[in-house]
Amino acid sequence: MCLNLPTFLNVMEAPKPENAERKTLDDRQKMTDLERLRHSAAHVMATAIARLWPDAQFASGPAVENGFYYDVELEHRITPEDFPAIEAEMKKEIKANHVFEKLIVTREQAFADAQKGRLGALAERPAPSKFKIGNLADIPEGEPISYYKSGDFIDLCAGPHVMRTGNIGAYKLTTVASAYYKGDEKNPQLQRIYGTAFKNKTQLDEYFKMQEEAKRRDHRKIGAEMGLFVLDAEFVGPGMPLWLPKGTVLVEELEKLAKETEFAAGYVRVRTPHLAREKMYKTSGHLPYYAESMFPPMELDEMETEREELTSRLRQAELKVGEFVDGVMTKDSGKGGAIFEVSEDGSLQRSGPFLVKALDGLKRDYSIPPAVEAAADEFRRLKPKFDSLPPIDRYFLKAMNCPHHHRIFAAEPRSYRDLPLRLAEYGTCYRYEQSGELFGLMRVRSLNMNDAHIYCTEDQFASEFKAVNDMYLKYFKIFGLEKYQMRFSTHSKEGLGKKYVNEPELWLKTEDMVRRVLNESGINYVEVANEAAFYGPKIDVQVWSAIGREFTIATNQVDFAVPAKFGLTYRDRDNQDKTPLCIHRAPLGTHERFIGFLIEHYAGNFPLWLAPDQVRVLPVTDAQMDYAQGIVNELRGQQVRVELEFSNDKLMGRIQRAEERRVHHILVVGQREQEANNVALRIHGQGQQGVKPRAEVVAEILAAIRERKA
Amino acid sequence: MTVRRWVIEHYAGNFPLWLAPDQVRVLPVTDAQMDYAQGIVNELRAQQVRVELEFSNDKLMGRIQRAEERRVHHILVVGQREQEANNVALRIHGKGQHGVKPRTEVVADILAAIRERRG
Repeated sequence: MCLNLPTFLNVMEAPKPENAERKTLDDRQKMTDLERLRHSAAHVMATAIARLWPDAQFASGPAVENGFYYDVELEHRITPEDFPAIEAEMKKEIKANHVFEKLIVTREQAFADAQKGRLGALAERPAPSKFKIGNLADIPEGEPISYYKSGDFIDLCAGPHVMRTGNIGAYKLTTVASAYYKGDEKNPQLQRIYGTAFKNKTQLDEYFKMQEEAKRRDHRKIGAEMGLFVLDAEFVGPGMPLWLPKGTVLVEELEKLAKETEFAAGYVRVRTPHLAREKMYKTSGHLPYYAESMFPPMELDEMETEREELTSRLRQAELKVGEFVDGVMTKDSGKGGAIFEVSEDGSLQRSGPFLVKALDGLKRDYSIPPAVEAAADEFRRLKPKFDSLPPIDRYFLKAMNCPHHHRIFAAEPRSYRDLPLRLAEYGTCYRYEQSGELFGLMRVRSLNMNDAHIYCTEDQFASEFKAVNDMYLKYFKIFGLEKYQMRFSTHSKEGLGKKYVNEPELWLKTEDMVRRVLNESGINYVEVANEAAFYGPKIDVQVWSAIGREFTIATNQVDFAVPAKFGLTYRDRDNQDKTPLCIHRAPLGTHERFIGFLIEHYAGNFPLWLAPDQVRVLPVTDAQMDYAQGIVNELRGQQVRVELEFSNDKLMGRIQRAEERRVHHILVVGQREQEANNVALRIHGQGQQGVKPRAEVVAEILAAIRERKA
Repeated sequence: MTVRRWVIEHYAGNFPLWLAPDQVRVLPVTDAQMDYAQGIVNELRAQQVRVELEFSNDKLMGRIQRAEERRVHHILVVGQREQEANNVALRIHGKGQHGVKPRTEVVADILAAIRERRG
């Protein structure tokens, strides 16, 4: 999947930690009812804190994904032990049912009130509301400035809010973190108090229940219990998971699923290196715009020895010349000093060519010592040699697969008969995420993407795009995902030529095609204006896990600009060379994120086809060893992951161990089972299933795996 | 020498069926055999065989030659007579014509050769 420039960073990633970026008035208009309620709760929490600690200095208090926070500077370190007292004060404010009153003020008035400490406060105070002064400065000229007043508390705020404090149904403070004012580490560090709020107590309770369940299903915890992956920051590096044997089973089952599905849909597979030269990413546009999210380049210098020698000799010659020129200037002026050239930007430079030129200027009036003359000659001789060395070759780890696939498209002459060409690869990419943002499998630096690029004509677009959506739905069904939503992001007219490639007609046409397919396929989607990628509309796919948590799994993108940058063409029926459209898609996202999601979704209890340990056969005594081994051999001959466990342990101990390891099918065989060619079946988490004929159980196991039954 | 290069040189690009990038190509002689040809393609593809159908206005000989150039391992030609008898005319890359055989037999042979990774 190739991503896009400005919105690039969001793709396939967990929500980043909230930052202190200012919402525009437009963003504020889009705030949902729940966000308004939570933002109001933030004001009420600030009111409560101000009652308890009147010298508190407040910065910003927005609604965020799961609640709200307010940043505060306060000598007292707020801890969870303070929460009951703060919540008690909040209760009083809510009971008083104050109106959230909006007051429009002039900039001068606002500054004056802030100076008197009145903003983010219950009354005027000796210390100015310093952070509010800083916030005021960020409000653009011409934008209205407003306060919100609830009871005694007045805050600089553009809203919107609920009508009254009494509308805040149920709330709870959750954690304390720290944050820099405006997210800048040069600014003071503040305490960030988090809370959440809902319309009523039932919803609040449900939320906390879900959080508890999510904690129980934490993919890092289950991953360690089941031996799926490790993060070895010390030797491998942060954010680069090692897949252990059991986790690799998951990875390879997903790849197998993708390969089979894509094969049936007419994709062809390709493989590409993990590196590419600088030219690749300059052409695609990722450099310089995306450079910050890529690992720094590896430099390969074929002329290293020569380059080093020339550098050192030039440097020596420069020093020698510079020393002499400085000496002459010092003697002349009677003051110590050195000669510099003022460059265009006003900075002082002292380059070799400049010093040599300066030396030439002195020749008329001064005699130049032979050693200095020789140094200048050497400089003149070597400099052109140095300049003609080939540049250092720079290689980058790929952060996306699309440029490599584009080069595969370009590798052979293409005709309309070759289209649609669907190139698929589980490609390994590397992205430089900030270390503070790395999180388990959810936010990583090395990732394996279920990638493919579909090159097609405009006429083929609708059916190709529909097929991609159908593939998503097929996968949703396999994984039992009932709730999903596609977020269709379109461009904005104002952003053309800035945020978006300046092709107004292509934008409208492609968006229209996408919209029509979404409507016709009856897909659940929402349309969001002004959030497209640089090169075309995109569709983010959000799914909800079994416990109702939302994950963004993948992004599809329609790309009508990058193929042209790479000069990709096909020969059409009319013998004209035309540029194909490109659909970027990755339904299973990355192994890292998708498996992290599946672990939570299944709580580690994977369906049979995915389970790292599918079957374990337990003979009750030595006498059933041969019978048990026969079942193992039969299943293993069919590629089933099956083990036999015979040990001196009691049967119950072995069953318990198999349950702990989440072995999906446990087949117990005692003398009676052996004699009747039966097995006693036990399914993980579902207990005993009774005694059944061996042939029936084996056939069921094979069918469940083949059909990928839930 | 890398494995990939070794494999390519060892076989001179004429890989056994299981390894061949293009395993099977089905060529209907005329439009009238399109459905029959497509049925064979679907049957093989459902078994994960890398199979393609090529119908174009080109003459049959041209298409066979192109398939040979691309080193397609099995070339199945189907004309009216083959269709009526549920047969295919088989051609194996580098080995020429293998005669007309029942469709089910050819399909079964292909699947077995792949499964057993025959040389």
